[in-house]
Amino acid sequence: MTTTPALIAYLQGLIPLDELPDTLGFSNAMWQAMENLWQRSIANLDMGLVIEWGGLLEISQGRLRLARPVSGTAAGLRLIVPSTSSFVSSFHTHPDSQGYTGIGFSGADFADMVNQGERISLVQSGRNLFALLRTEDTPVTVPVLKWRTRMNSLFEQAYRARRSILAASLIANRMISQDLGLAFYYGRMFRQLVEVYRP
Amino acid sequence: MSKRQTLVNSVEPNRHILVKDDGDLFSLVQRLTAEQPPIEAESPLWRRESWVQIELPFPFLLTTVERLPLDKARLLHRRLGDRLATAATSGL
Repeated sequence: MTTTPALIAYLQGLIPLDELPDTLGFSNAMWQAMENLWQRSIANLDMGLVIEWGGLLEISQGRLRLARPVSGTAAGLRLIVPSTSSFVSSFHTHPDSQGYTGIGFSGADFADMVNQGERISLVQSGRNLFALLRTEDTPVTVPVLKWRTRMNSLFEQAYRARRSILAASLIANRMISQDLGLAFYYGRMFRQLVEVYRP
Repeated sequence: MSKRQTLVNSVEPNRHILVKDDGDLFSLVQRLTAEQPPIEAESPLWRRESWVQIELPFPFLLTTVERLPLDKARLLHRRLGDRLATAATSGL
């Protein structure tokens, strides 16, 4: 299995959004690298302790790879991008101390991805992988607080309407992707991601 | 002390540091799930799945089992065999 060549071409600015397929795949090495960080995130889940892990996504010799893994706290992390790097993209985990999974992008994830100039952002929560891709419709900057509030409001509304955590995440993430002109893909780990929304 | 610490400010002036700040979403999940237990099993996006006592999704356990080395797999097989035999003799 290899990372979808069109995804790498899109991230390199070589093809337009409409040439991106509606399913995306990653190389076995990429899947395994993400899964390894997830396993580290929940290593102490039996004690109710979780830690977010993440890393930078890099394109090297035409391949997408996960590099520079770091851990943060249960609530977030900081990834240092080398000044020599022109490709800003990231992966991070969303472990929940209660063991719940299917928790997608937070409102701050959306706003920070936009403001920090990331081209692609990936989040893993359990067997679920969420992906955001920047497009020509994505604004340059957005207020963080506004999107925190909107995300939490949409998630709460969906959850209180008896949706699962995963379904509430997908509904809220899809709506904010539409608001911010981001392409949004979702899938199960080690399988293909499927397009949920494309501007 | 809370197990989660919220990063104070997600706006990072240094473009070469990517900030991921999810504290408010996890707090919301904690509050909502305390008020109303999640219904993962009823979601059309999930198969009906039972949960083990430490609140791990059953597929996670299956994935773990698949990765066990052979000696650990044999041990688990023996323990499960013992448990099933006990259940059979006790009529459960």
